[in-house]
Amino acid sequence: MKKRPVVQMMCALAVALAAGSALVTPAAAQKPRGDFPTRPITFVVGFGAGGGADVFARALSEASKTVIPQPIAVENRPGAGGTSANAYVSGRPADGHTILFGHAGSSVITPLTVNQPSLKWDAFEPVARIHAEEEWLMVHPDSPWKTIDQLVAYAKANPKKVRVAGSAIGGIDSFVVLAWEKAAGIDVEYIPHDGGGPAILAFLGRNAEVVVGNVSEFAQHIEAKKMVPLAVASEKRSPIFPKVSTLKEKGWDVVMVQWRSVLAPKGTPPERIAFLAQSFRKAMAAESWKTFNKNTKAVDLYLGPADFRKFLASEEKRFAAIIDELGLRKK
Amino acid sequence: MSFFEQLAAGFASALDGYGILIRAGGVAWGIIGGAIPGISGAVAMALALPFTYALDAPTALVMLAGVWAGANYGGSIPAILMRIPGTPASAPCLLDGYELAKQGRAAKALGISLICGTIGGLISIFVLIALVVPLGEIVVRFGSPEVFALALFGLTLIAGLSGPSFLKGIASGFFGLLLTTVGLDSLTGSMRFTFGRADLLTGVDTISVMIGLFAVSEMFFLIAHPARPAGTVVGTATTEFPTLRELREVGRATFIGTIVGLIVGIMPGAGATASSFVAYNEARRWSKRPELFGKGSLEGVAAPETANNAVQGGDLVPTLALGIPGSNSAAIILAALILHGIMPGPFLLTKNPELVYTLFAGLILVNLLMIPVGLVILRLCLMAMKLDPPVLIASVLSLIVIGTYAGDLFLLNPIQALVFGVIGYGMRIWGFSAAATVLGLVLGVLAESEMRRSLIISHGDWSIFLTRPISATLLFLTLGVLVYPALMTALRRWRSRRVAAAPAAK
Repeated sequence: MKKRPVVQMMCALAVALAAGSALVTPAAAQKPRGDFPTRPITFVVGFGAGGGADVFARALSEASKTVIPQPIAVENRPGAGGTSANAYVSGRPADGHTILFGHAGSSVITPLTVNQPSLKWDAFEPVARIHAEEEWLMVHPDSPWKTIDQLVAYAKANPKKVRVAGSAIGGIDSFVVLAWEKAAGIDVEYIPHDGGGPAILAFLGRNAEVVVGNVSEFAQHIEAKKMVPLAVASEKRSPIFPKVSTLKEKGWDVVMVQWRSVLAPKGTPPERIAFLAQSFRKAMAAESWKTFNKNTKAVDLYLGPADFRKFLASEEKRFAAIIDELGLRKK
Repeated sequence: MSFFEQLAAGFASALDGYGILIRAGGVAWGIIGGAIPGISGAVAMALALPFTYALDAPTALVMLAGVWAGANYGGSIPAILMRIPGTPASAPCLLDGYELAKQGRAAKALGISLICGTIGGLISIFVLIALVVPLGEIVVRFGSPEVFALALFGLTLIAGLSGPSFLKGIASGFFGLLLTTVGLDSLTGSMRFTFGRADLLTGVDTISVMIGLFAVSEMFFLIAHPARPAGTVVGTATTEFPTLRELREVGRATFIGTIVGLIVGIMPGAGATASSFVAYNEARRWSKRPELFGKGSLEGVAAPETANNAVQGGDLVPTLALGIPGSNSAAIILAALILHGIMPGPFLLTKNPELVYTLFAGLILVNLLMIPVGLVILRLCLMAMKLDPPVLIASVLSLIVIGTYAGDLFLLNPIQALVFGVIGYGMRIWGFSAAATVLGLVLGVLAESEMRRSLIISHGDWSIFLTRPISATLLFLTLGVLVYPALMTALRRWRSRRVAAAPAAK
């Protein structure tokens, strides 16, 4: 029975880890509001540690330290394009102590393509949209196209010639390109990768003429003069590169941002949802959150529960149209 | 500041603050995390990430680097002792490591894995420090065609893993390739073989399948054949660590492992697992005693374990030179930087040199710490070998169920482990090769998606694989290793026929 020390040590470590993650955020600034929250809040993220979603969740929980009297522990449950976490959270008690990360991919697009309404955003309670990253189209510094118009003119004359690197099909990157192709009447070759990083590597290795993705991943490469921005898929020109035109002002209605948000299980009491939403709004004033946004070039795009619900409904309509046109929806 | 001054400052900073304890703690947790089946290096690092909030950025970096290095080693402990790959990258190690354990030489295998892994880790860090900037330029030359060629090269190992029947080996390999097609197609996003189940979208879980095929099937085998096994594992020799002479004997394998680990580590997409399989195969090819492989060769433990530790340096090349993580583990290092308010990217080296040099110094430090910490944990683990077989089997099976569940908290994973345990048992009885299946599973995803991606890049032109120098070289090597043995056999037959014919002519 000499095995015991090892097993015990492993168990002890596991317990210590669980306890430790709860202890990391001890600073309680406000008194508990009524009976909520009475214990640590679990923030379930459907993507692996270290990715954009995970880092977002951890930064938000860090910033919320001073406004929510209980710590927020991030729990990663990656799988099925983020929807494994949706399935898990839908089965958790709807008492506000479990919240869910959501973005266009995991809350709208993937549930639509796999035809699983029980995983879609409306099977949950929208809490708040927090911030967003712009989506950019980038070219090489020595690219023959200096403007997006030149690129589109070339792509029109040479169908399938322009190669665009981006993350996997079903992600926001691919939808920016699909919507742009449709709006501008062009046909490009989209090269999907397992994430933004590999797409950038492929682009830097000259395996693509254009790369599409979140601005945070590009900013330093722009500074290093390895990339030049050609267009942004936002409503308005970006404060980061105000000289670069939007796709919208060229007459192509492609407005897509990588928004990140918080959802809760269906049936969570409205006053708890309101408390969480207001707390996150206050947390967004924290210094740590501002630094995080500055570093990741993200912009705050707060929407409270009611407005966020309307926004999600409009997002679903938009993405459903593209998905059906491409026949991506599972029968 | 000169390079050496910066490195010295890095060492001062890596040794500063909370002292050596926190690094040793990181290494220890890494080894244990790596040893728990289902908890990979990246998961062990992710679990440690919240602890680093309270630390300053340099200490946090060094602690995470310690977890990373420890997990690279830790995977080999259950691989050797119980035939459980603790991490996917430790799968090739069990082929010989477990055989050694059955011969009562577990401590030798564990010692070789620890020492050679440390050597591989250290050399790769030195190469990283010296060449991070020029290598950063090279990284982007490894595109999809190159990674595809590497995967194909690795798949030739099926021939070596087949065992007595080559045909059954090929069939086993194809079974592995077939398994990789389950789930969301990574290029088109369409669903394949998911039977409408959302939980199959991510495909089969590589580590659960590995654990099933190797470890669960072995436990079933021990239950079915109680007379033979575990009892013989308990030897008095269990605490005999490798001698200097044995270390010299695995020198060549260690060298091969280091080179393979570095190159594969630099290649984006191809990770520690691919590197340890390729290193295992190359070590056998260049070994003086290739016949020992699969039957308890120390070289068969040294090469893959060196390689998967040497991957660390390679992984960090794109991470530090371009700000693009070379692996999931490297991604957590970057996440720690972001959470500490530092944005990684191509300017990390010039803007935050003190941090980068602290990381360098810390990596050297934690790799050195691996030996003492590893030895302590190793002695504890060896005690498991003194358990009675029924107790051991029960403990291992429960460890497997808990471990495979704990990684992703996904119930399908332990189920997969058990189902593939049954399949693995059948494969073993009927002479199929579980190792070839695992190889197909590991390299199949790479081979398929990178080949298709290459063809999108080339607008459907197959010549892309031959017009790019690195990819063409790898493909010719692949062709060479396939044709060479057949050619040699033919040559030998021709010679013997000539010798036989010569006297007849007289």
